[in-house]
Amino acid sequence: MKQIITILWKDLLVELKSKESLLSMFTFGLLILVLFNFAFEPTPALKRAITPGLLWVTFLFSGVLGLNRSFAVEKENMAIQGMLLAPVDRGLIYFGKFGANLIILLVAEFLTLPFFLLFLNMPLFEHFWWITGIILLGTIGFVAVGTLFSAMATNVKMSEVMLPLLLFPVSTPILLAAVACIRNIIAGEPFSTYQNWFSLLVGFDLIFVVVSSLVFEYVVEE
Amino acid sequence: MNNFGFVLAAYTIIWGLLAIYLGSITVKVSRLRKEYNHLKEYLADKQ
Amino acid sequence: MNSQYEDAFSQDHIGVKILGYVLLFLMFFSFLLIAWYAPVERTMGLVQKIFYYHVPSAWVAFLAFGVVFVCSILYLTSKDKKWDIYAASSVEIGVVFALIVLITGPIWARPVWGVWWTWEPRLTTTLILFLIYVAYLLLRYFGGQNDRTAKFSAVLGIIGFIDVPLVYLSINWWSAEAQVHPQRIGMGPEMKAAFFVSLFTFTLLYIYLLIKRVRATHAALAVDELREQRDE
Repeated sequence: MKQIITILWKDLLVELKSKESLLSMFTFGLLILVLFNFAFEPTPALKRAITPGLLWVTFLFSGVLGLNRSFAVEKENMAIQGMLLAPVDRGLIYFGKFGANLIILLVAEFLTLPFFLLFLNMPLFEHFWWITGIILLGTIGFVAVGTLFSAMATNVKMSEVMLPLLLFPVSTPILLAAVACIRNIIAGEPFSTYQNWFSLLVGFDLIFVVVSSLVFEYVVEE
Repeated sequence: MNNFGFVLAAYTIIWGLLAIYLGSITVKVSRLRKEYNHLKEYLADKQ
Repeated sequence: MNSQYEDAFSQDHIGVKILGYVLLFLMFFSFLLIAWYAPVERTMGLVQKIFYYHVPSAWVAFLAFGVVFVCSILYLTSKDKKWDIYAASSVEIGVVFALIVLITGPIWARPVWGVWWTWEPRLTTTLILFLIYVAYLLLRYFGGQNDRTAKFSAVLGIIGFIDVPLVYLSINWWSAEAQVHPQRIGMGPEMKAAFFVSLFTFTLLYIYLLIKRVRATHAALAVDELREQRDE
């Protein structure tokens, strides 16, 4: 456990110093939001309709931005080799990276969230904790697979394109489930209407965190 | 396009894709075979 | 010195030859069944006959990706290269069949439902699968021929397949909310016969294509080995 924290902390510190990932993710997210508003000139009804989808599209695209960087940084400094020399269980390295990526993306997401209130009148306050929960669950699933794939993609030509190419199709269930949950929540529907989606979200998270951690060692071994 | 046209298009595409795929594999192997034999001769001559 | 893969250039094994002839026969036979033995469906007319290739293609694509899953696991655990070769070949074939599904789907949908594309769960799931495994092929292409790429591909082969039930479930629920398309076709005995013969034919076709594709990979490896010897 301590090792996970060490790796996690190292990544967070690196990020804290430069804030590059965070800033670019936040700015990118904001840009998408503004672009959509210009492109669609949404009426109040349209705003209500597209908010859940737009929320997650924004999060996914800015998420990819951040994930791309997380292993690119390692590659630049050959830091991965260093980590691998230490007798650390590869799964723990995964959890460290996963944790760091998760925290950074979550921060970027919650920074962007107020702008959804601003531009789209998304009812944040009435259902704040439920919305937070769904954002957390959705991001966990996305980052679980994303951490694994970004470790793969950085080592391949066209790596910036490779990551979304791999990640987005696989993340389809997360996208659909998270959007459905948010849509029902902000419409004020009871839990039973989106309970199945919620279970899918949790299931996806569990399955892919476990599988990714198991398989990660094959991705980093030489 | 009446219905028959659709069916014809579909079947043509199906057989076409499969034929192209199998065909490209066959062509690839025969090209490789030529190169392999060429290389074998070359290496034998080198001895 | 000869390559360990030199056998790739010799004649097909007798079993494979027989398979080839059986397939040739079955393709004609199943076509006859589809065209003349199975009756024309009442509501959809002639276009319904696309179904006899559309659905078996989907099943074969799914089978192919299942084989990829198993071979990927075997490759990662055993490190034996042959599993990687089988996996990569199976992905290609799976993608070809998925493409057939994705093309025949709209061709069927247009005259029957008036739209080119429908977000029907099985068709949409095939689309996502297609994207996942095309990404697999791109990964192999951009990653170059080495062990690392093989391992990455295996990982993708495992993750992709585990994702399939989740993708199907999510699209099923989503499309139920989005729209409804009737998909059950009541099949009379002749139709069932034609369908199962077609399914059997396509499955054998998968096996045949897999054998051929693996052989082509061996051939390429053989040439690579000799090239290395030449360049020494």
